[in-house]
Amino acid sequence: MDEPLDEILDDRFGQLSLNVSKSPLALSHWEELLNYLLERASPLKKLINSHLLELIRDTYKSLFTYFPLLENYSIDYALLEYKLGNIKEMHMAFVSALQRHNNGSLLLWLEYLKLCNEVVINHKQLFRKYELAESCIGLHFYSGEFWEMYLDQLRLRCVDKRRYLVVLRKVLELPIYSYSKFYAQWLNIIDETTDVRQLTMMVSEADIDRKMKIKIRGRGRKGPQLQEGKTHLRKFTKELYMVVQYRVLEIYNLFESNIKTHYYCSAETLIEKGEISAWWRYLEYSINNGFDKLTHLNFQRALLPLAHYEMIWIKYAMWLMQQFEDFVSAKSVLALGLQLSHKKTKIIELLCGCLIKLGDYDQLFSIFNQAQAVFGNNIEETDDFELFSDYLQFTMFMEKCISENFPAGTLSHSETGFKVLMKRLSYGENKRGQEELLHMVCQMYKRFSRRSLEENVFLPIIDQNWTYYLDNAKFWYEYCHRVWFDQDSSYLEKRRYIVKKLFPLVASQKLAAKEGVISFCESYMPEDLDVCFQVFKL
Amino acid sequence: MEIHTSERHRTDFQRSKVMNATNSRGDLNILTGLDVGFLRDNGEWVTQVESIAWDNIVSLDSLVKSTEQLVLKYSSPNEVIKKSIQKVFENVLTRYPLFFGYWKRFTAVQYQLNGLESSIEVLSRAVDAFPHSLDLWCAYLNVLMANNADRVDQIRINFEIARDFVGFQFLSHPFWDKYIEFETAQGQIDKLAAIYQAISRIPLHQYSKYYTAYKEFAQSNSSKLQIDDDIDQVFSITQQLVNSVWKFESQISQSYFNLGPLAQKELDNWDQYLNFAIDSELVSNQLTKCIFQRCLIPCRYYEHFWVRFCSWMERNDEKASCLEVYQQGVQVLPTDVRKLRQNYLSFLKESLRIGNQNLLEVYVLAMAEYSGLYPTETSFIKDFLMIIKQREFASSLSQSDQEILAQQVAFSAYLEKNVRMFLRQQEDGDERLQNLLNDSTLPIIVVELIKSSYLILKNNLQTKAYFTEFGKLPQMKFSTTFWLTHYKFLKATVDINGLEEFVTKLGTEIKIPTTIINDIVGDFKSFFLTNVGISDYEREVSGGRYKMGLDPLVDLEFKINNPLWSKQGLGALKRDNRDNGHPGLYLDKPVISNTIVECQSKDLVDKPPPLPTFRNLEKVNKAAVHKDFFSTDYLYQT
Repeated sequence: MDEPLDEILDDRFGQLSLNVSKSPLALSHWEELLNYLLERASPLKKLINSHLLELIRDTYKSLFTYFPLLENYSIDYALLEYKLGNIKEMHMAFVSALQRHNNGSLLLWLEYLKLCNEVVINHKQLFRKYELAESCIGLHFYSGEFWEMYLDQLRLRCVDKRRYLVVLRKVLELPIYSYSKFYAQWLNIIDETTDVRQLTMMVSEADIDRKMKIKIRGRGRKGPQLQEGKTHLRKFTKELYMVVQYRVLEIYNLFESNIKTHYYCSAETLIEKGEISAWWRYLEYSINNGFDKLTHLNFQRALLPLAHYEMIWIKYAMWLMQQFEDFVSAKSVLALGLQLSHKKTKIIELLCGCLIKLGDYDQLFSIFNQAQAVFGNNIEETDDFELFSDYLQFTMFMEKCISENFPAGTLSHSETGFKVLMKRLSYGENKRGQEELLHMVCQMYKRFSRRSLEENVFLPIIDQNWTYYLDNAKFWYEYCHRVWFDQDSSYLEKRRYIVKKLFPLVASQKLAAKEGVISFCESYMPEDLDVCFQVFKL
Repeated sequence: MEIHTSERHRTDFQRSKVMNATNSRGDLNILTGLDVGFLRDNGEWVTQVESIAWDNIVSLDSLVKSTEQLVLKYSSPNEVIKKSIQKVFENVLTRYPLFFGYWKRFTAVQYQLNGLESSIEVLSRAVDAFPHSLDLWCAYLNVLMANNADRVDQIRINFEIARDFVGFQFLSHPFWDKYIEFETAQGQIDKLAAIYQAISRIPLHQYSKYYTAYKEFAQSNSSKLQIDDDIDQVFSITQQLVNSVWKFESQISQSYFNLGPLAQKELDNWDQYLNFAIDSELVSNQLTKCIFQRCLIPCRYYEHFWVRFCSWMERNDEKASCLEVYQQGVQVLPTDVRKLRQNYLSFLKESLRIGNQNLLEVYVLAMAEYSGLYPTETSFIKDFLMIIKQREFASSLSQSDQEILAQQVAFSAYLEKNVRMFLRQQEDGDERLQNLLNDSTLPIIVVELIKSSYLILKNNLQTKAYFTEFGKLPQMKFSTTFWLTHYKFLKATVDINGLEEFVTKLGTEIKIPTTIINDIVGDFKSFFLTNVGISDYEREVSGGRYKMGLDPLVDLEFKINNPLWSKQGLGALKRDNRDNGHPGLYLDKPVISNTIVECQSKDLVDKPPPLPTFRNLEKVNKAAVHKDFFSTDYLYQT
């Protein structure tokens, strides 16, 4: 029977776990807590206290919820299970870690496969893992180590050389950092070939026949044919080498050499501008030049250091939507981006579009609710104008759906558009974007008629004497403009209304307000400029 | 702040250089009629005439010098030679009237060639052309007093004119001395008293001399006239003023006009001097004006000072003389500086507004002139149409509905007629308006016509017809104004189909700047969200509308900063694999044409891959090629 946890843990645990629960986004608190727990568990032995082990597992799990991209901690955890002899858990740990990275983490794959080499006895099982890794990270610029391991295992575990040769042949074409050592291996193999028949393992028979002019199955002397075949092979190897080298140098010089950070960094860490721009150009280049798999992989790589920068998430999602119309993947990319990125507004906007497109209204409303909740159900208090305007626009767009499908209160947005709007406008100069907001409302021709706009927005502002607007040229310009563009009134009615109703209202305001109306008149009704100046006493 | 000022000055000056370079063309006519022998004997002079560089002071000076040599060489030259010599000076001084030294040398030359009267004539022209020159006035008045002493009234009038032009200058004591000398000789005590009274208030370098003189004059004439001034007090204020201006005056090292840039220190000093003059209560408006005028001698080509002067004049209600200064300024400044010209137009517009009707013609002429100088500027035609509608198609709400509408219809017809006349290149339109029309300004009048038809005459069908008709004109292709109006119209009529079509055409058929496209695309998204509901959207989705057409909810993002994007190209996004990450550098790169990197190695086991084949293998060592986007995408595409 294991000792209860109280016996093992002291007061520090309380403090450390409190720190973590207070500010779960501070990585250092998690580190302290884990270090403490691991110290308690050492020396590691198979008979570890099961409660403590569960606690450690749960702690890691929670850590990964907040920090899904921490590769090294994922490895630490898997190694912990390995050391304790829990092979099944080790596999699970790696599999779920890889999933968090969409199988795109080279580091995780390398560590995992190293352990698999040790523990997986069944060749087929092992190579299935290698095959999966090949399809996921085979094109990675630094995948040399992976390929070496793969080739080693093939040499060790397969009697037939065929498979080894085919893998090596594929690696020759990959533009990867350590390309040249594979050429050395390949040339050795050519040198060591002693039988013409072996050539068929390296090149398709058709090409041997057609291009090398060697008749494998024919009679004739094989010695000269073999020499001829080897010469051909060396020649194409050399050409291949030149082409691959060209591509590798291009990628290295232009991009990879500028990228120093290959791991997830905490939220406070700033990434150098040069590095960010290198990634940007690299991704553009990948999209234009590369293979979709490699582009995916490079996006996945870029996400690690740039996880807190919105642009990478946006670029990734846009690429997925634009190139493949893959809104589902784009949605998950954006959802993770929403969790990690510092700036969220643009991501929310894209995500909303994506969710509507996918018909996933539940998640959409949950985002709205979360956004509302952040501001204590008063989203109009946000300083982020874009967030507010997106919220307003999307809830207006979804208005019908909200009222039909959700009982009152499901969505915290219970007030009508005008109310939220007027609340926001009432902040006057204390919030950014008021003029844009006013403009936006005036453009809602289908939603609000001129009369309802006047009754609900313009006249209340004037009656309540909100000087921020009354002294503002844009406000009056917008007012006149909305009247002037009213489809339902006649020219004379609009003109009379502006001259007889609005001019006198503006006459008592400051010069800036008058300038708004003057500029409107200059554009739309110059014949009334004289009256305008007269009324304004200018 | 300082950096800004110096930047501004530098550009001003560069522009003035450009202007001088353009001035350097033109027929001089100096050598016309001269006989071959003369030309041969004076080869060097001829060469100088022929190769004169108008923006180079050395070249000018050596021409003037060698022309003077001619006068010495030929004691009694014939008429043709005389004419040629005069023409040299005429040419130089017409171009640069502020070279007072050349005026004086011209006077001397003219004296030798044609005698006293002609030389006085030259001086009289000199003070007309350069009225703020103290030197020229002193020389002129000297000559008048010495040679025409009997024409007292004429001399006095000239003294009075000169007093207004140069009397406030810091170093104008030679003039005042002469003036006092003249009136003393005439025995005009009351005039002398007025002179002393004026001098005592002007901050002159030698003000103290006049302090003593004024006191003596007051004492010796106390029996004959009453002097109201408390001389001590007046001078103590003047002394204070002299001390204040000395700070700036002492820093002026080039008070005369010259070619070439003025030192930054000088420019800053003038700027600060003017700041002081404008702000100080001690400085009278007359004095400030004089400082401006003096400043504009060395700083003649610096627009900044003209702008300051004019706006100061406007503020100080000197409308009449303000117009004059504006006109001088716009004549002097090179054509590519616009600020003063813009201000001039605004000034005229404002003057018109407050009832100065006789300026209408000046205004229209100025607009016509500038629209020739700046053909892409659209504000002239806008202002013109506004003024015309206000004046020639006026309607007031006190009129009957029919009368008002008749005027509106007439205006619309006027606009349409002028558009058609322009397009057909016929000359039947309003000449004033046609002068302002060109390919860049045509969209403005078209937009006015559309606004009139849509907003005033409320003829939606006609408006649509206009959009279709004019949208096809090549002049509209690049017109932001026209397309924004179209966009606004589509929004106001909530024509979602039309809007989607419009946005799709942006960047491909409608070629307006990318920043504007971005704005429209962003605005359309917000318009779509707030004017269309989810149920309408869902209906369209299920109807398959957004399969091929642009889906405003997700596709608009792709169009931002990528105006050529279109939904049709989706999935098969055009790849330019020659891109190598450097903007503008393109390569035909060596590539493996049958590459197997995307194959799973397992699939190759039973069927080994073929031999690799290559494309562009020979380019392995080739340098990158520069792709000239400017030529391909901009210059030749249109």
